Amino acid sequence: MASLRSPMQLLTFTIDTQPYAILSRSVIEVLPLVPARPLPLMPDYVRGIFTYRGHLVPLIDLGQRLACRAVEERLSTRVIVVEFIRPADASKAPVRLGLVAENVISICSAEDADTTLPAMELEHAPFLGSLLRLNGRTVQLILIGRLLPPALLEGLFPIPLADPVAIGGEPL
Amino acid sequence: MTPELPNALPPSGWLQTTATGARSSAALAIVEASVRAPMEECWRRVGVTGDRSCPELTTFIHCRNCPVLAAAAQTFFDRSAPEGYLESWSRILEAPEVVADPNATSVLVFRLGREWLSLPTASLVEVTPLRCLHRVPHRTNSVLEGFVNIRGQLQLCVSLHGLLGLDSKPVIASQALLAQDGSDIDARPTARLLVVERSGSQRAERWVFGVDQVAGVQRVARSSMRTVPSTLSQAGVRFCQTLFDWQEKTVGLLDESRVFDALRDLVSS
Repeated sequence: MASLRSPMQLLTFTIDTQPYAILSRSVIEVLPLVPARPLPLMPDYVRGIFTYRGHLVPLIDLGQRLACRAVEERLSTRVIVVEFIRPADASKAPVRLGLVAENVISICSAEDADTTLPAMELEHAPFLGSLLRLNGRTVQLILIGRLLPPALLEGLFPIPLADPVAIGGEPL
Repeated sequence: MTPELPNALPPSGWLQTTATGARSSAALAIVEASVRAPMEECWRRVGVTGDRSCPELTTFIHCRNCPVLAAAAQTFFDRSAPEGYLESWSRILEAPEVVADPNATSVLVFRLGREWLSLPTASLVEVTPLRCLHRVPHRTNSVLEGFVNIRGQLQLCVSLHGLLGLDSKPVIASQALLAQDGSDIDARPTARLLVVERSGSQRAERWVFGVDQVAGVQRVARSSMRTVPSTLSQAGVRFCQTLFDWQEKTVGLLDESRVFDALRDLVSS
């Protein structure tokens, strides 16, 4: 995670009335809450899969993930399409997720933060990043790369079998 | 909207004396009060669409800058989605991503008389409404029409109709008696002035010309462009050697450097 001193824009949203934010550089697009096709035998926070510009993208309910409560379906409840690259993936294929959150209506700059608390290292919640004090609100940064458990992420996006030569000649 | 501002100012003038932080905290207090009270619509009573008596107007100038209106706008998004809205978005997202063709060029399509023509967008500076034309005594001819005031600078106004030998009446000629207040402008609602500049030149070489209609910026793939048939011989062919189809019309792409060269020759001679 980059230092919070560098100019950084955050996309803010709320889950269960509490403010959260993700780094805006990983955001591709913010969409209305489009319907998703449910996937069977998935955890509560996987709403299903939806079609995004001709690709199938999993839809994650941040309300279920962060507060064990489904988001309220209003106009300000939107899908944030994010993209990131898994460090474990040698092919560097970007992974796209749709995150459903409430009050996705503003961005702010991390430079305006009065104080920050560095990221916590919690085994059961590895996605919790730094805490920032912004405009009188305490905003929790979410690390989207760690939002899903590694096993689930690999199940949804299987890493293609890497060419042994490409990762250093050692056969797996 | 009665201009009663002097009476509407707070009597004590406290806004002038308090610090900025105190002003914004006063505004925040109003936000909190208005969020608690259901939709006061103060902008209709004391704001810019009301009697303008709100003391915060001296700070925010317009209601759209005020946090009270911003907070009210946020409640707009607290409704549930209208029927069919999300389904229509689903259909939009079904469509595959449109990848911009790297070989496409961006052109501005416009109409001169009955001819549809275009210029590379890179040479375009501005599209503006028609404005008063200042003729130059003894120098005005079929190509040079005079000067127009573009953002405080007098620019040479030329007639592409005259340059290309199009027989229709130039746009600006009929505008020579355009009233100074521009009241005549609505007479030709689609006519515009284009400000163009030779791209990549050291000294700015700007020209203004009138067109009868502007259709907007289009991306055209190079593969869909074709050359003018060699059997055609017209004055216009010299300036327009590429054609493409757009909305069932054949549009000519003007060669900007030839147009600029010809304009300079004609005007400086």
